[in-house]
Amino acid sequence: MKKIESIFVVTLMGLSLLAAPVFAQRTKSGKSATAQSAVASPAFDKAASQANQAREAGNLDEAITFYRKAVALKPKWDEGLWYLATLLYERDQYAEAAKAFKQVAALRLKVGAPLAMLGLCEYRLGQYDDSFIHLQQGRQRGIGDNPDLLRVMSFHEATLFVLRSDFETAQRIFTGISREGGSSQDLIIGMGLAVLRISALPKQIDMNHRDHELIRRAGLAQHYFAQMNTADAQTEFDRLVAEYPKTPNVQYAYGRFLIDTRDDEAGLAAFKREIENSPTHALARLQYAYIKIRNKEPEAGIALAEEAVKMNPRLPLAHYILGRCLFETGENAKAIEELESAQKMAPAEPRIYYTLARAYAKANRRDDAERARETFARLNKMAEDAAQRGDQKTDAIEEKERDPIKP
Amino acid sequence: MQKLIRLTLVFAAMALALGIIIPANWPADWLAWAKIDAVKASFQPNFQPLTSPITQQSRFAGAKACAACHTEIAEKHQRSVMTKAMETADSCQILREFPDLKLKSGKFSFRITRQAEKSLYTISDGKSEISLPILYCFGQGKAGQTYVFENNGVMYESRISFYKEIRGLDITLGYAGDSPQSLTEAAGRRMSLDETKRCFGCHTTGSTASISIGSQSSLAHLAPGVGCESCHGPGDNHIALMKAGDQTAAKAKIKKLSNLDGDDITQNMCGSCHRSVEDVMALPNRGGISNIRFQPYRMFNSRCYSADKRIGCTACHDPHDSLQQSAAFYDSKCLACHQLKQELKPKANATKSGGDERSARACKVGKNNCTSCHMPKVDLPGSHFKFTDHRIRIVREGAPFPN
Repeated sequence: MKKIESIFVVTLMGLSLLAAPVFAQRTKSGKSATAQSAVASPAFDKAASQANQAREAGNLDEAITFYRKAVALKPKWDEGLWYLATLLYERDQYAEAAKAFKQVAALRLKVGAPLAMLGLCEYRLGQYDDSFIHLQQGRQRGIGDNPDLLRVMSFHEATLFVLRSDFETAQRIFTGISREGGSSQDLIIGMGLAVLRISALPKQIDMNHRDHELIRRAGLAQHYFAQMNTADAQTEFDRLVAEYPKTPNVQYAYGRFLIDTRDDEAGLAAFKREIENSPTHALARLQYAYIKIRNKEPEAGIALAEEAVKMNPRLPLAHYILGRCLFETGENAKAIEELESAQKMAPAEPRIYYTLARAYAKANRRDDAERARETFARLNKMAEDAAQRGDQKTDAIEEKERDPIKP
Repeated sequence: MQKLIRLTLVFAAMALALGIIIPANWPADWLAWAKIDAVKASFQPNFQPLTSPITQQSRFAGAKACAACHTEIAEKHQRSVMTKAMETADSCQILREFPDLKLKSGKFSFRITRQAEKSLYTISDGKSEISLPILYCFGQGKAGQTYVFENNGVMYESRISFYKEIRGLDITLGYAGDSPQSLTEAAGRRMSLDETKRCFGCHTTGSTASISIGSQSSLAHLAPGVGCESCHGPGDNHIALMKAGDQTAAKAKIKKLSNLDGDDITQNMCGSCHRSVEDVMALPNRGGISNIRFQPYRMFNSRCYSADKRIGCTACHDPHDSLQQSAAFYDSKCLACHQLKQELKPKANATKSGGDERSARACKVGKNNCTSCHMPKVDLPGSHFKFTDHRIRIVREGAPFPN
């Protein structure tokens, strides 16, 4: 966390220090609030000048005072608000910093950094729902080519995904950070939480936490794997399952690792142990069923996929996997039922249409088959175009209304 | 370091000033739809041939054992390029024919030299060099051939490949734009266990079970190329039961594929290696012209795919035989389903014409050389090869390549 934070502070300072030329450029064009205010308010001009001088001299508290005064005189002075906000952030005054970032965001609609900073302030204030929204909005507006800020944002977003129980997305983001060389303790703990599917923030898992060692070890194993260090990941995972064989999700995490390294037989055994440990574990069942589909033994996955559907009838993935098992075993009518259920819950997922088209064709429902195939082609093209842009499609479908997240 | 920070800050300032909007790399992939719980990592491409998993109860007998009874079809299959999907270096035809291959790319020089029955892969940066023996040659050479070697107990894919069109070496597809920093990096890419299993799983027969991490010795007894048992499954039990005179039980122990419909053949059988739709969807950075190589995927995107169960790989290709090249041969395949314009009859008569299953629409333009308009060949940059686009469609002049 410290490494990430220190990078972040450097970035923040950079944004703060370099905002001056940015706004000065606009002065020449005659559009700057500073230039306008020179005519309108000598008091503002004086306060702004004193603020800038204090900041440049490194007298940050003094600078904050003058910026406060200047923006009070000229509330739409975006440059001053930005400086004020970044300086307040540095002084850990997150509530006031958030307010100022919000004002900048409202004035600079095409820039994502103020919203991202607002999200980070809200994170510090424990306003996690707002933080999540603003980090996303900041990213959507665009942060520019600023890998450090993006990395800091990504880390915080990932922890919020964990808090929202979207462990898969969190894991993917953490993996990206690991792969780029990140290795802080908070990252390891975050990965541990994601891999063990524990909805909590890294800061909640301090050294005295009962499960600190378990989470750290799981995170470390996953971190090695993210860095493509399979040998050390294997060693860590082996130790983890030896020491915590009955702990929920440990066998599941191990199984995921094993199937990622294509040790399907060992993966299946790990998922079976997880089902023994956690009898209501729907995902372990679906993992098992999917491996069976992949290995051309779909009939062996049906019972577990059916159980997963019963346990979690609103999970489209469960219906999809069951539909796939049934389709591959020739139970076409039942497969169509399950796939249609999945399609209703996740209408933008091309994979469902792919299997539906095939199932309809086998049922001689040519028109339905062609419609499903065309829908597949349309959605798939969107996904491919997004992939070509280096973007990801955002077709996430909420299974249910989420409760506000609480740490 | 200061320069780096300054650069970062300059970019930050520029972005702030210009309000640059970059595409949001927002994490939400296909399984995000599952949301509360997903199994993304398990949805890996299905590269394993139908024979997997290999159990102790079913063992590979080898192509020669199959040929003892299925002589004619086995002989035909021996001529097919499928059997040459992989060769060991000592028996590689291309490396024999071209005993000294060279390429200079950037600061590195690459050379493959033949010494007796061995081929040595040498990479030099002008100051130092490394030489490693080539172990396996992937690809039968219609388009090209890529090499696999071992370094410190791990398999590597060569950065350079042989291309038939230029009769020489060039950078392997997918490496263009890379800037290797060391001789080892320049030599090629380390293959993960998963990749090793996938590559050998498709290019050899019965190898999947014998591959362990980075161990060349475990591959020593594999059968190179796609043999009978790659598609029909291990034949040991089948042979034993046939010899015992129990034909019914014997038939149950071998996969009969002729009863599969076009979709099963295309997506489940051929798609296991040539990439089904599901496989392609799992690829990173999918989309664009590189999809041209994945025939089962392209074919699924054809309008006629869902409409006719006959559509599939084996409607045109015989996996036991060599690949047909003549346009007339493929015309006959199209005309097995499509009528010719001059043959069009009133609809009522068409349905009554006994035995004529050619219910598909007639072409308004031509009567031969169908593939030139409906399945054109597309040049894949960097491959030195034109791939046939298996997405059957009406190709308009100047139209962009459809994903």
